[in-house]
Amino acid sequence: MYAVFSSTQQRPVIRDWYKTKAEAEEAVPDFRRVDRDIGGQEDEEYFVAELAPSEVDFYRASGFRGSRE
Amino acid sequence: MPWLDGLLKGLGFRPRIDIPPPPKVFAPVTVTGPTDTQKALATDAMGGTTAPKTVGMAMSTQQEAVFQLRELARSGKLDKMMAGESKTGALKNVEAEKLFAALPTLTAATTAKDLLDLGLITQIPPGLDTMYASTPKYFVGRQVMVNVPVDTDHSSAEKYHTYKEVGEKQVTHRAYIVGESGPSFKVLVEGKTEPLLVQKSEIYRLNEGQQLAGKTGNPYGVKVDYANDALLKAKICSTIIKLDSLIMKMDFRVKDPELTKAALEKVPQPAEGTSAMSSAGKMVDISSSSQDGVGSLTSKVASPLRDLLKNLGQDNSKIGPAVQRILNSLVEADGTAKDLGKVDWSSLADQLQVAVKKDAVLEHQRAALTTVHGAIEMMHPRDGGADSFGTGYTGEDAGKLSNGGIGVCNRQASVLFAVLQPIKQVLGYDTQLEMSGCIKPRLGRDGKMQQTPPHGWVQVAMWPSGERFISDRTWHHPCLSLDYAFSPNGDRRHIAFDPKVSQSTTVTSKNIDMSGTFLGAKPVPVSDQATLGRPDH
Repeated sequence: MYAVFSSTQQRPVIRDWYKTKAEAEEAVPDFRRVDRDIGGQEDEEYFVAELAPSEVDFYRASGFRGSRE
Repeated sequence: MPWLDGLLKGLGFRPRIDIPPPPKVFAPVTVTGPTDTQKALATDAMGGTTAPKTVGMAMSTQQEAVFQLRELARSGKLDKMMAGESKTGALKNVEAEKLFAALPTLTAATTAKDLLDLGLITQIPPGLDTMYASTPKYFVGRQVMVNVPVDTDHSSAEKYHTYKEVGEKQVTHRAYIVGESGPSFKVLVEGKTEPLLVQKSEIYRLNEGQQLAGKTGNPYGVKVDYANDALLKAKICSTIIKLDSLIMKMDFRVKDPELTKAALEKVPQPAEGTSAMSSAGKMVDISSSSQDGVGSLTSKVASPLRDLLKNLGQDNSKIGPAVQRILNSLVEADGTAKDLGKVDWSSLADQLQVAVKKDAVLEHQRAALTTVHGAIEMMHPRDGGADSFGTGYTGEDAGKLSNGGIGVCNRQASVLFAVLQPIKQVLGYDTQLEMSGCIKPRLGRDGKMQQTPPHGWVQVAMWPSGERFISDRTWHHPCLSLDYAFSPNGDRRHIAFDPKVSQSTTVTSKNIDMSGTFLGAKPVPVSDQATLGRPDH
């Protein structure tokens, strides 16, 4: 899985995930836009990263669900 | 060990002394106390090792491996030894694997005496055993996590997670034990006047330490093998060696009647009419950017109290949480100060003396947690971008991960938790592994759906004070007070612990002491969105 993370002050959090890197990268501008619209911080950065299987398990076990699930 | 000699010579290492030959049968030596060899291995205050002076006592293979590791650390060659292939995490130097494999197997059951016997530390902190034997874990004023209906409005740091009759049930840290009643503790939750009765088992579930029992473990996303993961052994042993000078400063003997007596002779009780403060307010200023809960004494504190603290060894510019609580008890609810001429001055001095010592231990314990946090070399995918997955080690071996691996929050927390297990006894720690989340929800891609992102970190209770701190690798917080971490600015809240770690401690009656007086809740870290806070989404 490819996760979209956002981060301010070096605090990365997962926002969504996708099966391909291309899909994840395509989503980044949308996150940037919705955060800007509600007054997000200017230094918010966005990035895509592949997750190890155990990391996917952790996020699922923590209750995280992707927008396409 | 001829292979070691060759390896060390290859690295340009020249031992200062001749190491006595190891026994031909490499059976571990059972050491019943600090041996002459052990004493000779003791480091000096600067971390330099001295030669074994007694050749009659042979070192075990493990002791010798520790000795070699110390020498490599001292000479600055250990980093080169520990260099791994970036993608596989495998050690570049095959001989290093042999040295590291010869290191002792350290687990959650490892004690300070074990570390001393192995030559990993120079001394057991004075009073450590007595502290474990006599310190109650559940006492009047102990801050606990408890699952109750709370105010979840994170726009107010003052109100967030205080009690709210019709609020959502969540775990809050803004609660204190004030008594007991049969199978329950009386717990005062901020925002509620009367204490709640909470089952002791529920308090233990949320507040007792957790551990990886045995020689292996699988916290989320990580494989821990203390006996066979040579790199993990090296990471743990080298971390302990880094901590040795700090451990030498630790003194768990908190009661010092002579010190109190001397302080009282120099600073007798002031006359009636001497207010503890010149005007109403707080006795201790805690900066909004303070992440350790330490503050400074305000200038309006009366000089007898200021002098008493100074004579008890307190640095009045660094007032820790134990002293703060006592000082807070000298202030009435409306902010006016009590009359120092009317308080039990001798009892106050006794309490402050113990509190000063507890805070002094705590300062070293916090520094130790920062050291352990920094000894782990892991990156978040953010550090390398989308392609980092293909360039760094992303497997599950704790040793390789700790030595340049890549992982998100929970995996980094799991590795930190694993490294802390063999070290926690000597440092007076209890550990918990959080698999929890952020306070503030984030918007989904469509701008409508909201989701609270999961997040993981390690929680550490430090004894004898019982103060808790969090250590968070991916958010770059080596040691953050629980009060700050769980505030809206800290943006973390407890949801669950990692289900793959266990609680194995048993609380007995000697761990419970309800004889004290509740001195009031701790101050809430001041909200400061400009410097530390995430915006409210």
